[in-house]
Amino acid sequence: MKNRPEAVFRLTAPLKLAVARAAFTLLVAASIGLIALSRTDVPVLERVRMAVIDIVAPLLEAAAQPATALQRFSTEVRDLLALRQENQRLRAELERLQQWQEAAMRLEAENSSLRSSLNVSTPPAQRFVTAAVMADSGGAFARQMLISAGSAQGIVRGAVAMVADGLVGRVSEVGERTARVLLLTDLNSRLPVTIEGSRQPMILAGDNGPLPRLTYLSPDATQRISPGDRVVTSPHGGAVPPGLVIGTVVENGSRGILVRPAADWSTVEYVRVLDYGLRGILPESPQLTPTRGRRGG
Amino acid sequence: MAQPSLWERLDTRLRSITPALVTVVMALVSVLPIGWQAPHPAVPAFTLMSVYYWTVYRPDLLPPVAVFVIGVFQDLLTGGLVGVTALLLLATHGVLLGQRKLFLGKPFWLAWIGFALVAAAAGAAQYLIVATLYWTLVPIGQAVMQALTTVLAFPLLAWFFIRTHRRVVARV
Repeated sequence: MKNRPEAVFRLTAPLKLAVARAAFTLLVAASIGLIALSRTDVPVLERVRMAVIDIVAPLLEAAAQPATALQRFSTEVRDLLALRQENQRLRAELERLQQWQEAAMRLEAENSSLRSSLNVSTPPAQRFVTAAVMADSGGAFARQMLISAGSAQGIVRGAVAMVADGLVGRVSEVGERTARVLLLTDLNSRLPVTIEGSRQPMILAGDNGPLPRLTYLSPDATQRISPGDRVVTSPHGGAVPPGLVIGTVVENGSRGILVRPAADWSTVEYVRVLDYGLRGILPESPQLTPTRGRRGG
Repeated sequence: MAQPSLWERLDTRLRSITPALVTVVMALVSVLPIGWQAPHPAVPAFTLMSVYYWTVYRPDLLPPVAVFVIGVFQDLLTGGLVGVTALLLLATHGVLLGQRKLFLGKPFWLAWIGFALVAAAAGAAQYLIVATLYWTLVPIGQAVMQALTTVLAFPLLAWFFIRTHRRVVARV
């Protein structure tokens, strides 16, 4: 009688092992299936993804708060340590900017007088939604961030996300209260851009590295680009509002034309999403808006 | 012996799902916006550490299904290809189940070396999967940096896992 449980155990142990093995194989197969599905960009997966994120959004927001506080604290300590230098730098910058302010005011007056004499129709002002950054994926293989605004706030796919310094990326997926922004540097990011002042269309392609590169331009145009040139969004294709600052060319060599994004999103807490939801109400023909080459000087 | 009360059963249940919960928290931590995005993003693979630790020390409390679900969850959060993290975590779990006795009752540095091997293998596998599927050369420096920070951060996280193990999970 005493060895009966053991006998049962002996019988069930191999069975259990077999079941466990089968389950494990099944899960591995499911993972591979998911990868294949995800690579082919099925819309169902996107909907599931945003639904899951909508659900965990409050959790992420709660978790982000102490993280943000911690980050602020460390920034503050760093700022305190660099106070003197920072002060000196700011004084120099103030002096420089005062000259610019004067120039800008002169130009503005000149611009408005020219506009009125030419009767130019100005494009409508952009509306935007400000959203908090809830999460950013910092793995070596994805450059994206989740923001706390979605379709309920009028955000649509393809809308442009910006910080003060420049463009950060575009909205790639929209949930009800959250959206995902594909950063400029992501492997999948392709953005129509141009060099400020030229009208040459080209594409800024990310590769997950810190410096995205310019592609799809003629050899002739390639030669004319040099480090320091400013890259802005292009009106071609009508996908994004033209003239938004993206960054500067840092290298034009064997590795291609590399661009350093102007926006520093390492410490970004909020982004502005240009609201395209209103475009249907306020029709704007991109063909008629001139590229403003002078912008920002 | 008396039947355990509802409270006791609930307590035991909570303790036994702690390893899975800790791993879920690790997935959330890895997307916190605290600036490890730029300029050289190198977020340690937190879930990998958690799966490694619990597979070696308490594999009964972290079943493959949980590993799979957490992997998919992390992929959904980070926006990478869905299934990649799930596959890597499952592979780690599967391989370790056979090798875990190597580390039991051994000094910590041995587990660390074991983890370094796992992290290197997982990093290389991930790199190959992404590079193959997108058919492009992803800058390798990023992947190397990530693997390095993962290995270096392991003792810190392991300390947290060990404490959780002793205080919460030990009685299950």
